[in-house]
Amino acid sequence: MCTDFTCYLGQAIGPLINIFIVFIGWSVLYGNAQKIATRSETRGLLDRTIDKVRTLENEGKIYWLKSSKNLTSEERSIYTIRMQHELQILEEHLQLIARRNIVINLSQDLFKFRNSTTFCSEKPERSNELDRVLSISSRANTICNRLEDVFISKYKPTE
Amino acid sequence: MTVKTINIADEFSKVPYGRYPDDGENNGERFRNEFLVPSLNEFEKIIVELDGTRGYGSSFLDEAFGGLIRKNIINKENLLSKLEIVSKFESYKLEIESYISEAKPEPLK
Repeated sequence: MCTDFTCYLGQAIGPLINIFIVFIGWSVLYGNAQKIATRSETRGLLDRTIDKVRTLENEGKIYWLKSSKNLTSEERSIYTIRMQHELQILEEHLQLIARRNIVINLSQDLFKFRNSTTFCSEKPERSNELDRVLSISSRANTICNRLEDVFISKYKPTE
Repeated sequence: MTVKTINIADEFSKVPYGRYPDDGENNGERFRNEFLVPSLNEFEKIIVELDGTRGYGSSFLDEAFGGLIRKNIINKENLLSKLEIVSKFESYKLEIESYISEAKPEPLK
């Protein structure tokens, strides 16, 4: 039983300090869990975007490799319209990534990717198929590598 | 200043495709001749709204906008000062500016 003021103060403050330490520990754990969840969600979005780029790259390469053979006008229009639509969806994905504070401007790369996949795709026989395939590959790689770079810069790998 | 706004999705097509008429009905040459050229002749500024379509292919954009320079309809400086492209997709603006900058006027016959 405390009789003096100092002893009384010690008994009163002790539990408060314990509660404070528990609260600090909890907030650190919560902060870390939130960071991991945000990183994981961003990684998921990034992976889906990279998958989309790779799918469009493959479709583009297959189309241009077939371009020396006789493609019907229906095949040409289906490819071009589908590709231009999917590229627009890809740009929407990139805008979603930017909203997760991944600061990157891929507009220039996207325009070059669209150019290599759809420029004169209505009359593909006028272009060199190998040049086009290499260009599609190079543009797709640039987009994927820049996305990976910016992700690694934001979420540095643990040592 | 007289201003004309052209919304491609509402006034032209939701699926613009191709360069020339033999590629399809909603091609870049038709858009240029039926929408851009009359507006450039009549108005001091034209605003082209791109959003609302299923996307654009490079041939369409090149023929519609770069074609204005190749066909000697307007010079680059005038076109860039009169034309405003509105879109939430930044890549289209860059692409159109690039085609306008790279286009060379065809020799007059």
